Amino acid sequence: MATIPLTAAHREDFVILLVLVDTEDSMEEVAAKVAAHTVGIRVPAKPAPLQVFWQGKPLPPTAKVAEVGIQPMDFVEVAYAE
Amino acid sequence: MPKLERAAYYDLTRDMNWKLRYVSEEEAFPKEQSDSMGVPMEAWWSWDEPYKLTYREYVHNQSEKDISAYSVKAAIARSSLFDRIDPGWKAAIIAHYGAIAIPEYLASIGEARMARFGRAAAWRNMATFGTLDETRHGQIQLYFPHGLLDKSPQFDWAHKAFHTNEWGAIAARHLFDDMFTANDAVRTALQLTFTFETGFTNLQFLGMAADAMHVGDVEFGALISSIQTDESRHAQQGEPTLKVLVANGKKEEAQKLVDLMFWRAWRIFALLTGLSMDYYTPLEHRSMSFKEFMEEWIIRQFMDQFRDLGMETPWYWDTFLAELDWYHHGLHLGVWFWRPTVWWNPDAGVSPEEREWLEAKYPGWNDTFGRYWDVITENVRQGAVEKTLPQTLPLLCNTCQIPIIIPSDPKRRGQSLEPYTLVYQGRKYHFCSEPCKWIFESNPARYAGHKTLVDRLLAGEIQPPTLEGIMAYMSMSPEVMGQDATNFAWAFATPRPKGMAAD
Repeated sequence: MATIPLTAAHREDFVILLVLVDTEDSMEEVAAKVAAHTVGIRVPAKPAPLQVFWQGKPLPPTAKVAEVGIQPMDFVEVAYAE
Repeated sequence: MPKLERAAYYDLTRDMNWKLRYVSEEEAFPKEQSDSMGVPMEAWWSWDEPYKLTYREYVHNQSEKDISAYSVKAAIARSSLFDRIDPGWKAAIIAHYGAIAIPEYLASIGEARMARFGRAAAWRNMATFGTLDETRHGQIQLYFPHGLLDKSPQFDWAHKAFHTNEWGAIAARHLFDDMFTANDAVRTALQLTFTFETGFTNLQFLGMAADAMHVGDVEFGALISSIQTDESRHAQQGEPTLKVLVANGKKEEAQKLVDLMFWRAWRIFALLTGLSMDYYTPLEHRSMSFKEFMEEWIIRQFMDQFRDLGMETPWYWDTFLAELDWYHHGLHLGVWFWRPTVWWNPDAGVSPEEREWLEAKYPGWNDTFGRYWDVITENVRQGAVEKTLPQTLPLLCNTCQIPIIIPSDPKRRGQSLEPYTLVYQGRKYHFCSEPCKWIFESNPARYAGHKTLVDRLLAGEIQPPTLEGIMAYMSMSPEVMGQDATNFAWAFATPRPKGMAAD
């Protein structure tokens, strides 16, 4: 139960952002936090779920930040699942 | 008292080099102030500047320039010309003044260091004039905006910017400290007078002067042209310094110094000049696109000169060329979106006609950057302006201090958008590009202690750690915070029907 900063981007956006997440957040919640700064802001909204990628691998939506082992200022990328 | 003809005395008085006997070379020219890189003292005495002048000539020329520039200013002050100037152009000059005026004084420190520690008398002489030039530039680029304070409090940032922790000011300070404030005389000659002034400042000053005249900002055009003639003279310290190094087997060292600073200069120029030329200058007055200017002034003219000296294009040349198509477009989008964090009012520059121009000059713009602006435009039309304002910070590069942006076409970067990173002495650093990472790695002790604005936030140095706290840390007040220059008029403009002639 701690707040950690991540570096994050939506794959279709143009900039890497500072996004705060909680270590108990699921990937679905992390994706939503990144989407809040990007989807409908600069990236067109799509009726498709958002996936979180870390170290190049997609993560299951229910996995939690602490479980996965994401560290402060690690990079996560959010993209629409095909 | 009769005045001597210049030819009778110039060569004699110019060559005031002598062998030191009472102190050592190292005592008189410490390495920290003047790194000769192993080139012997007398080898420096061949230093030869192309354009020679006496102090008497200097004073005469400079006073003529000042009379001219100041009389234009006085005439304009009596008119209502400024009130009729395009808001996008106002953004360009307000950004320019804040980013450039105080650094001119810092440059006079760099010139003064060369005036004492340059390793040839002729060099020290040119640097003495350079010191006076840069002092002049600081003064004139404060005096002109001072006269415009009643038009906007943003003109106060001509003086204030460099005394704040606004992110652009941090980026400019980091660059200029690296280039000359905290640099020895030899490196300053290569990195400031050669790389930055011979190459890049031509763009900002000549390009802006041309656009200023088109726009009708006679005052700014006169100011800028006047500055650039000084620049051309003191920038000439670069080439002779480079020639001495190359002639004495130090070409590799010289190449590296130029490569280090060329990239940094590109970064700041894309930010300041890229935005001004392609988005802030009114469409009908854009003489050339930023890319066209870069191609003419850097890729052709500067690189021709560089290659004539036996030097090579930097190792990252292909990366640089590719960036000419997208990098400044990304910076513009970022600066506009994060507009409350800058001291000017960014002109979005994306009306239908402007987007046509952007597409013509940068084919594919509408399909890449245009897509972001489509979402933003729709939000504006729906009255959802809050969706066009930032709620977090972008990640900043630990070298250039500029936001880490990526091509809007992800295919250009491969699969991952991951920033470049480095762990040095237990601390993680982020970079926007391979060259910025390379710059840091070339001398980590020089850069490692510095914190970006984001680092400071995460270290608890910004209190409270909220958007309000960040704005206060950057000294951004409501009357200065950037707003859209035309109050979103561009979002409601209808496209001109095809086939109609331009106004």
